Amino acid sequence: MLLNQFLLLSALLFAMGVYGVLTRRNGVLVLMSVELILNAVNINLVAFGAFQDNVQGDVFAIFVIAVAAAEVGVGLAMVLLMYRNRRSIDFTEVDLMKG
Amino acid sequence: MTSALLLAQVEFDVAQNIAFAIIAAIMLISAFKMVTTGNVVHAALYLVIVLAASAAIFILLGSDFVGATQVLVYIGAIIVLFLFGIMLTKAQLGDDDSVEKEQRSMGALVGLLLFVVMAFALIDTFGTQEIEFGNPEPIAYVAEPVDANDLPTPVREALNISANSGTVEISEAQFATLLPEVQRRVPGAEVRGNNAQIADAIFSQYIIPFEAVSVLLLAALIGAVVVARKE
Repeated sequence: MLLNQFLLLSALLFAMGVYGVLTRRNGVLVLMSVELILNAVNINLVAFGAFQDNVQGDVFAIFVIAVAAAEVGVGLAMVLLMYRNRRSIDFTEVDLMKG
Repeated sequence: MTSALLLAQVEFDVAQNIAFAIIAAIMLISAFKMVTTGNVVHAALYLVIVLAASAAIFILLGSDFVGATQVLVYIGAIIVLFLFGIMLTKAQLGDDDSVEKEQRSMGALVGLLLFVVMAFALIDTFGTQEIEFGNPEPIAYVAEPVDANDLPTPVREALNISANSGTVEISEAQFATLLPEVQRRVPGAEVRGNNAQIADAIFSQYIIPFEAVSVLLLAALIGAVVVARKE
């Protein structure tokens, strides 16, 4: 199999994730799109690991999965806090620091 | 002989490529639906399909441990967190068309631009380089006298050892004549796969990042509780 077919798949997934982050207003959906981006990175890591025939790609992919779990936990806690304070999870309304 | 081997190689590759095409198609359609659907719960369920498809891609690449971790952590835990997040925030379950048309087209433009730039760079750099799936690691030979009675039947049959011939020792030359699937059943034979290498790497070379990740998870746990609890 070509290395590029995996890399292009992951690039497409990454671009879709970026589209989701940019267009979604619902906080939970933004976090889901971030997961899509992290997943694209994981496919890249594992593909390069297989390409170079070592396990470093796999090891880093596992670390990324662990960090993603932590990120989702804290991110959703923040979304919940925002919902409690404002009764809304629309990220475009959070513009306190807008110049 | 060579042409038969070559043909077998090609056939194998075709099967892998068909599997890749099916998985990639499912994955991309679901990902597109996920970022465009108006229903929040449907988006979470499409995310499940994307994550399962990428677990399949990992297994296709020979990283079965990462695939299993993906299923356990992402599909088992993170999706549940997302569904809880959706429930607890009473997000509108109907259509979420609140995004302005302008923002949508700008997002599409940025995504497309990113993809085009990355695709150009990737094709330019890696061209048609193949991923070589090397042969599985040879099974290590260990000299070990064993009772013929304890030998697995396939090993005995392959080496013409009768069950009541007392203690035997399989020589290296005999071991080399065995097929791999018989070799791995010889007592003391050491099979080392991808998983053993991952374990070795995590617990030796990457032990400090590993410990740091465990502290990070604890910090995230405490942080999430502190942030989300009621005053």
